[in-house]
Amino acid sequence: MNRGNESERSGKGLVFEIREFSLFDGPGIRTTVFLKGCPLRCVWCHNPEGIAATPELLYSVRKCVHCGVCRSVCSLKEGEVCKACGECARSCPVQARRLCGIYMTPEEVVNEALISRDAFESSGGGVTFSGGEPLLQPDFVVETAKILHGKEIHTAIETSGFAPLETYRRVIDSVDLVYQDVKHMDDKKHLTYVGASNAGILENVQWLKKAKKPFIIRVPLVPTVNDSIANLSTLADFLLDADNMLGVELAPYHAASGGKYELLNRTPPMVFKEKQFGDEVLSPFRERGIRARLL
Amino acid sequence: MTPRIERLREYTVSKLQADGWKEIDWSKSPELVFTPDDSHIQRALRCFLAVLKEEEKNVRFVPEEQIVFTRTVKNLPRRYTTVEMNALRSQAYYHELGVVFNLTVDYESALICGLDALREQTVSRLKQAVSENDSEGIEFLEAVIMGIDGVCSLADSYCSEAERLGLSDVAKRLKQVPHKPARTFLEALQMIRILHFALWCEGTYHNGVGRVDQYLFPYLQADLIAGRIDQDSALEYLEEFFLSFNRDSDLYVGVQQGDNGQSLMLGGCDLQGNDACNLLTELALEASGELRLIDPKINLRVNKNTSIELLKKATALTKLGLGFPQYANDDVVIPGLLKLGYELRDARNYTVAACWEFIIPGVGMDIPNIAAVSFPAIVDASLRFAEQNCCESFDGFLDIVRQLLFQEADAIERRLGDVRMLPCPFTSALCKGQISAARDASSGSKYNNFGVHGTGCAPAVDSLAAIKKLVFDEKQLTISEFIGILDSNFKDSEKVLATVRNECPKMGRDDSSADDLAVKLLNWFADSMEGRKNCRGGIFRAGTGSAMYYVQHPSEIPASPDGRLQDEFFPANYAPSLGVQTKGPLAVVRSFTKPDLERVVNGGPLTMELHDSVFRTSESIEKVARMVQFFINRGGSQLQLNTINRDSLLDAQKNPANYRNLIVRVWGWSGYFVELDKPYQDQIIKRAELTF
Repeated sequence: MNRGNESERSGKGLVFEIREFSLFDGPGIRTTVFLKGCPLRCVWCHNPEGIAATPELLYSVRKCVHCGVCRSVCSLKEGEVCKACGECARSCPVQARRLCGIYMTPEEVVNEALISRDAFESSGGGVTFSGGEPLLQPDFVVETAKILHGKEIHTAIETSGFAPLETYRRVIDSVDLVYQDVKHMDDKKHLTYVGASNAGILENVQWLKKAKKPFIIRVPLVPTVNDSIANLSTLADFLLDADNMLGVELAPYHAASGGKYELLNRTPPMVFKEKQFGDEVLSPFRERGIRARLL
Repeated sequence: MTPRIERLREYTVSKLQADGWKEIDWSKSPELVFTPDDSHIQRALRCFLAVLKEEEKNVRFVPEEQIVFTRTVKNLPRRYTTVEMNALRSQAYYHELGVVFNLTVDYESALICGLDALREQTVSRLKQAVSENDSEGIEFLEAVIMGIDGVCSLADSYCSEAERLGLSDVAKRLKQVPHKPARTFLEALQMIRILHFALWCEGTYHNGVGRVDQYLFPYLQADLIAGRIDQDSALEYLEEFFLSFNRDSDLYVGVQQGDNGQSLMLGGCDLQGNDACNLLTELALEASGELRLIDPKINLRVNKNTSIELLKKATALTKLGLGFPQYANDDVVIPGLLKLGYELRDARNYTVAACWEFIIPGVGMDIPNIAAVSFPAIVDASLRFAEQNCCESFDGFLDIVRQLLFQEADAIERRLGDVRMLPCPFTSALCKGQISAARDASSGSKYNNFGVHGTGCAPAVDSLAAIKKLVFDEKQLTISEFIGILDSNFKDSEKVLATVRNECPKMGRDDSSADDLAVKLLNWFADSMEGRKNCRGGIFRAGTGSAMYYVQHPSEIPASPDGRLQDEFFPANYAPSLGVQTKGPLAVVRSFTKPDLERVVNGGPLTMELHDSVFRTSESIEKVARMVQFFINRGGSQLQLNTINRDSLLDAQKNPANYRNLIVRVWGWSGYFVELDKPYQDQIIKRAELTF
């Protein structure tokens, strides 16, 4: 964690992927910057490599041919902890190891994203910050977004909203469009499944509702956890009277996304039974005049 | 889909027509016992007439169909014994089966004039040939007349049988076509069906149908204006027409089941260069999407001004995973064809042959797949040459690559010093200018060019980049050491394997240190073909297609410097090496549009795999359409997008019975996954590992 903070102070961000042509992260053709580190512990998380706020090594047992090259190049001494130097990943002939997370300056990220500028312009696209939790690296996001705005690139953020209001406002003010997660309206359930209280998040959403910023509410729809009509109705009530809200998107849980845990030598904290959702989960919103759809 | 089309579709996919197929013992037909004196034309004609006569005995209607003609003869008679064919092949090169193939005839003119008028033209040309004592012309023209008579006679049999069964609408149409010009959309479709059917009976294969939305539109338009049909029934008839391509296709086997060349082209410009998309363009996309079958193979011509709306409709078809449409970019293809010497109006009228080779309907007797250069084999040979001849710099090494490419082109030209084709008189009669020339298309048409595929561009480029880095820039390895490592298939050289796979530039990542090599390689390939005349009066055209060579060529070399192991395949067509993680589809498009693709216009699409989850939302259709637009704007020539899901493919290998209808794009065509041989299945699964 320390190294992350130092780098944050030195203006760099810890990025675990810059994905071009990301399809579900905002309008047009977009490049999404995935920032590493997340304060929450959602039991259904399907980007587990984005949780730790330090670089780490991913390892695919399925690909590994046990040639031992990685071991021969490792400089780690007995009792030392892996510093994620990445030497083993570079030396792996079958790409079974991958270094996840590198420190980048805002300029480096912008340069990488700008490669697709022509595609952004022709399609009305831009750059989206995602994670992990981008609010963990507020200065980096604000600075990167500022440079992008200077170049007239549209920016968006996907966030859990878990941050002090002051940080939240500063980051939200710096982007054009917000995808705000609301995982559960019940604080106890939120604490159980997400590992933190929802009070601060909802307070931030209250502020967002009154801000001029266009936003979309996203709900990871997890069977038996937050898919009850009661929970969705409470959320819908909470979202009333927000002129700047473009709509609600419900993203059904997919068990297959759990595949990444294997790369971290972990198992998913919980596995749920997938469910085919229909219009019933949308009606609490639609009945209240809120646009809603399933992803 | 109307209930009638659903029933017709069910009939076709259940292969009920196969009950009527008859294996014929042609050895019992005395007219098919040939003597050495029987000419090529005589053999072609007698075989053709024998098939038509046999079909006359088995006139067959599918319940409720309006567009008739169903093949019943399973096996065509052989024009030559194996001994005779071997003797022919020892004297000259005959490509594939040796006959006229891989072309699109001039359906447009046939629809306008009808076979009776074509016969009259032939008769009058015959008189001239007789007066000129042109014995070759006489023989050809007489064969055309008899062929036309045979086709008309079969149509007449269908007509009387339809009358007898009370199928009065069908009978009425058959009284008009193919004898006389088509007057309505449905007559035009019936006529095309008959002609296309006849081509296959004559032994011509890989029969494309060309720009259907162009030559059929006047008939549809007239019907709509006269109120004879509405758009819904137009779609219904078009779907029935498309279904007819699937009915006999099991009898039309190429390298693999489904490889039958029944391609069509939509969109593009008219002969004056104006946008020519019309209602039929969209109906055809819709029909293909509703039917979800492997034939006909849908191609769409696009350009910088193609509307995003049309691209969205096309993307909606991509979503279904049929591998349709394959895009061709007029902005690159037309100038490319002009550079090769095509006339402007011909270039503007291009379509594709069986897979992706650009040809001109009615006037192209090209052999667009006559040879293939394996780029990785050139790189491999260059390494071995460099080892013997002391190569000091990477530029020096590239010189060797260039020289060997030219040597390969020389060898291809030498090998193809005498290429002959076996005639198909009826097919030729449907090509422009063959009647007036009184010559079969096999002896030449307006365009007689040879197309040469280029296999494995990306693995070759990646190999060059690895050689540059390891041998010349960083001097980690000598050329001899590298060759030793390749010959041992990287055994005990895991570190080198890791370095070439992980640390070297790859084509497809928008990395100029790799892409610049691709620019060079494809330019040299084009140079090596440029200016060469082929033995049939045509030229050589370079292309980026692979056909089935992506499976064959890799087995001819050891492991390659890019880290491809010996038993691993090349990518299909023009695509990143298998297993190379790219940054995304835009980076791939950027990399693959850097070379001057106007110069390699024999065809060969950039091929990309999309995961089926890409299409989860309505916006994603637009985004993929925007990506196609991006490709067009960047100067790509041809694009094939395949929507697949690796898990389904793996499951389909295990449980084929559950996946009878799973369609995949193979190289230039789509087929049923479970009907492919395993190496082709495996290559597609490998491609599916890195979908976007």
